Amino acid sequence: MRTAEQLSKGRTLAEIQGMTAELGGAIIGMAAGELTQGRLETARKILEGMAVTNPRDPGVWILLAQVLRRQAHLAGARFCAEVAVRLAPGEEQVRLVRAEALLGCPEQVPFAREELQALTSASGRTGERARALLAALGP
Amino acid sequence: MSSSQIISSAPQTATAAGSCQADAWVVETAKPVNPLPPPSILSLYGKDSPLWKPYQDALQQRVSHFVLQLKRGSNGPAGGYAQPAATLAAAAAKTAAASSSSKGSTRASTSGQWGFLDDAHMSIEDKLFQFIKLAQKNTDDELDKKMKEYRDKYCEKSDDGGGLLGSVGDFLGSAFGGGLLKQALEEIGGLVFKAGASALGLAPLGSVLGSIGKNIGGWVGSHLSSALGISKSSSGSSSSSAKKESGTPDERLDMLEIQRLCDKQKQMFDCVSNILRVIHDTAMTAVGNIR
Repeated sequence: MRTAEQLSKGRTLAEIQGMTAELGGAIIGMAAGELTQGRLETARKILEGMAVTNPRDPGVWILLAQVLRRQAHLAGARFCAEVAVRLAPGEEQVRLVRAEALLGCPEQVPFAREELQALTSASGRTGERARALLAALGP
Repeated sequence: MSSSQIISSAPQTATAAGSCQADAWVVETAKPVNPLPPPSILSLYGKDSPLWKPYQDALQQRVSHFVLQLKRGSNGPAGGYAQPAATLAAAAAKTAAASSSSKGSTRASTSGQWGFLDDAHMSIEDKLFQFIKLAQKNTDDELDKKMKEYRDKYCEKSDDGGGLLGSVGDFLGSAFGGGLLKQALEEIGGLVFKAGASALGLAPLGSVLGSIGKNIGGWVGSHLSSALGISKSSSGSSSSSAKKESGTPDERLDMLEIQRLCDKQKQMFDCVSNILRVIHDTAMTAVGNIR
């Protein structure tokens, strides 16, 4: 069957090419490493490729949102964060990234603040980050 | 048969028919006329010009004598003293009828916008000019149509995400109002936008394939290898090959079709340009000889 036909039936390129979740996770991990070390352009290229290869992975979208936000592409970052939230609505880390993306839009700051407030009780680094952001925003 | 054809064929036939040549000279010596200049020179004068008159008279004599010779040779009415003008008209009518019967289909096809090709009053230069103008217009129209087809098929969809923009906007609701979604599209590019739309279930990922080709695995791999610093040259070559292979076979075929049209246009221009150059050289030779 041709690739186009398989894609039109809803399969992803990762499924068609036989890319396993481990391999996808490894690639995303590399992109995260690039992001941590400040090589935003490289991280963006990898993540864009992964977004096209498997658009159903929310991890790709939240990392891409972070990269775009650090590159000052606020609308793009917000879009990626919204996609990630649609894919994993209950995930706390995804909500945190969206709240960070929303902070870039002045009219969405109240909503972002609400989200951060809800995330302060979260465990681990997500809760810490939410609390730190709220403290930075002030009353 | 047009007048220019009669001009060119009459003297040739008179010289070829040896026995009749003397009679032709008798007629011409009885009333001396100026030698006929080349048709290209004649076409420079208006029909009412006094310069044209002597040539017109000479032409009339030659053509009428030629028609008489034809009648004698074909066992027509012996000693025919037919009116030259009437004979000429009858011969012209017969010739026109014969040519129309033999080239009926051609005449039908040259009517309309190509009708100027049958116009006896137009010089060959004018006809060539009209021809190139019309051919150019037709080719331009065809090219324009092809380019619009190409745009409708590939460009608009890959540039702005097609109709996805509206559906994604509706899906995301008030969170993405105004021009924010368009701005996001500009920032992240059409590919990622489509991938996001497919993640939201708004479009199959197949629409993404049309934009990126089949080598997305190689594309990701090349970026990964460049990120890892592995084989920088090979990553460059693979990304360039991905660029070369971008586009679906249909897209490449359409591009080839447009290229073919441009080649066709160039061929036509070269051909007409050569013809016009030859005509110009011929006219310049005549002018040079007059000097």
